[in-house]
Amino acid sequence: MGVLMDFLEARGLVDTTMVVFTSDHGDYLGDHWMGEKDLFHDQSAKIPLIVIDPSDAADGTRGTVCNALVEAIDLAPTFIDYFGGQAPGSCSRRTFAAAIAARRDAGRLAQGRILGI
Amino acid sequence: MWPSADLSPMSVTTVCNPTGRPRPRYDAYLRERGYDAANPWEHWANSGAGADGTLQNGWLLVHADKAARIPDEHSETPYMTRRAMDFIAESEADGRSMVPASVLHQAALALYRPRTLRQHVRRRRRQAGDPLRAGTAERASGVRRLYGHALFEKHGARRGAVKRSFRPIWPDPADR
Repeated sequence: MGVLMDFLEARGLVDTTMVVFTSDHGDYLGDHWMGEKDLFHDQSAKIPLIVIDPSDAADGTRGTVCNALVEAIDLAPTFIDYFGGQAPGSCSRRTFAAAIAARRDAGRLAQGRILGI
Repeated sequence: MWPSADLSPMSVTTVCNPTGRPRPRYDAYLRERGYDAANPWEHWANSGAGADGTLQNGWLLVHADKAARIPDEHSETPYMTRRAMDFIAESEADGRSMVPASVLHQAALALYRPRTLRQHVRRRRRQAGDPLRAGTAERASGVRRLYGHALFEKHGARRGAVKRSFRPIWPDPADR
């Protein structure tokens, strides 16, 4: 990661690149007496989702934690929306920005933590 | 068939996987450095070696803690990081980066540590006084308490049923 971030910085891309660090799933690691990721406990579903938004608009929330429920399926429309595109109909219609604003995400399956979006 | 436009970096000795698709470019990268095998990734990057040089395949739990048989700089994550940087440079050079949302999705492999997991499970069970090893009534209530969810509903409190249901799926010779 450090090598990659240094590379972006050296090429002057940091200010125009949104960096998202996440994982496809967690692991019980023995919690609830289970291994792997089969059910929707926090150990499986509460994965890190760190968003580095380079825009000035994110300055106010930079470094903060948001516990809104979001899903990985929302990543693509979020990226497209962020960069001014139109997400195709096959995409989830929910971007993180909407998810955060609405705060009405109980029932969504994956839970993430959003920093600084 | 899989598009063949991107086959140029692959060597003529490319071994197709069962889907008929070509092996990843990383295999050719390893071959070029002398790490040849039918599946160079599995044979070199995903396997360890014993003191006598015996191959210790990383798919097996007992070898999950072994170092890969290649130097760090040729292992998978550093390779993919360099590929990511190449992609960014190529995107800039050919104008792709001028298109809004030039997206790079890089997945770094987080190695499972199943042996560590097993030790962790055993430690937790010891600490909590393993209900699976307690008396029958105690065990049933303990299991219900600990597995108060779909697994319990599905398997009931039969000894071993729940335990089997969460046992990692990898083959572990120590378990046989």
